[in-house]
Amino acid sequence: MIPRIALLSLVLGATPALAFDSTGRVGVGADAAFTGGPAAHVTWWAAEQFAVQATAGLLLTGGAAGDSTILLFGAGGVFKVVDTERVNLEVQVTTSFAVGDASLVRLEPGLRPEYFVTDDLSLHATIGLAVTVVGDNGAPGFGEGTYVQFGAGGLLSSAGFTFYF
Amino acid sequence: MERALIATSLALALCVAPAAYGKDLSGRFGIGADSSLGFFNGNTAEPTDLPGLSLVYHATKIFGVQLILNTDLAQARFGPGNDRFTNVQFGVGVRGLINVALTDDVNLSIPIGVTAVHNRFTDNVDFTDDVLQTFVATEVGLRPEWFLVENLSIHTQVGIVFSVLNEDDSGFSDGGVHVNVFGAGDLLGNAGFTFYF
Repeated sequence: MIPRIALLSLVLGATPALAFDSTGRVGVGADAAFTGGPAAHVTWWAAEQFAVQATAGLLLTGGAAGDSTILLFGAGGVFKVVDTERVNLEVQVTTSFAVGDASLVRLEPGLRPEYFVTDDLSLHATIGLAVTVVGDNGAPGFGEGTYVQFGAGGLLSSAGFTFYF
Repeated sequence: MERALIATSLALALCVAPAAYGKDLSGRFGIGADSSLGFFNGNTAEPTDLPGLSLVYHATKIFGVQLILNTDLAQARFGPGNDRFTNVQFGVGVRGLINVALTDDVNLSIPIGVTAVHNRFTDNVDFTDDVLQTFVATEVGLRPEWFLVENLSIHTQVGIVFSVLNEDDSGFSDGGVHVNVFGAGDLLGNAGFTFYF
C-alpha cells in the first residue's frame, strides 16, 4: 500500500495543471484592430481551445475638418494553440466592418499571446496579416482601395485587455 | 515518519519555490512582434523603423538570430484627382542578438543587423511616374528583454543606424551614408514582444 504521504508528495510534485482553462467563461475588455480602430469586446470561451468574440466601437470626430461618425463592429474566433501556466498563445481571426462616414471591411488573422496577470485579468497584443477593403467613403488613413499588410500590429498598437467573469 | 515529513517538505518547497526563468535561451525558438531600428528614406529626419513579424532562434546562451518580415501592398485611390495607384513594399530585417548580460528576469542584448526595404510605387494614370526604391541600412543597438514569465518577454531598444544612400533616395547621390545615433528607437517606439516555445 502506498503511504498517503507519498501520494501527497506525488500530487504536489506533479506538473501543475494548466491554470487557464477558460471554458465557459465570458470576458469583456478592449481589443484594438491591428491597423487601428479600438473597440470594446465580449469573448466567450465555448471550449477549452476555442472562443468566439464580438467587437464594437464608435468613432466621433468634430472640428474644422468636419464632423464624422464611424461605427465599427466585428466578429471572430480565438483558437488556443499553446497554453502554459500564465500565457496562452492564440490565433485570432477577426472580420470587422466600418459604417457611417467610412466604409471598410477588414479580415485580420493574427497571432497573440494572452498573458494572465491574475486569474481574472489578461493582457494581449497581436501581430499578423490585415486585409482591408475600403469603399467609396474611404476610412481614416485610407483611400478607396485594397490594402494588404503583413506584420501589422505590435506590442502597443494592438494591445488590449480582458476581464473574465 | 521522519522520512515522510522530509519528503513532504521537499515536495512543498519545490511547489512554492519561485520559478527560475533561466534566461539561457539556448535552442529555443520565439515568435512575436519586433522592429528593426530602421532605415533612412529621406522623408523624415530620423530613420523609419521596420515593424513586422519576428522569428527568433537562440543558437547558444549568448547568440541568437532574428528575422523580421513586413509586407505592405496597396491598390487604392488618392489625391485631388482621385488617381489610382499601386504600392508594393517588402521589408526584411536580419539581425544577430548578442546577449551581454543575463539576470533572473532580463537579458540585455546587442542587436546587430541589416534592414532592406524594396518599394515600388506605380501611378496607374501616368505610368511614367513609377518610383522604384531600395533602402539598405545596418544597425547596432541595445535591447533589454524583460521576461514576464518563462514563455513571454517584452522588449525595447535604441541604437545607431547607418543608412546607405543612393539616387533612389529622394535625390541623394550614390555612395553617401546617413548616420543616426540614438535617434532610432525609444522606450515605446520600438517595443515588441516574443513568445518562446
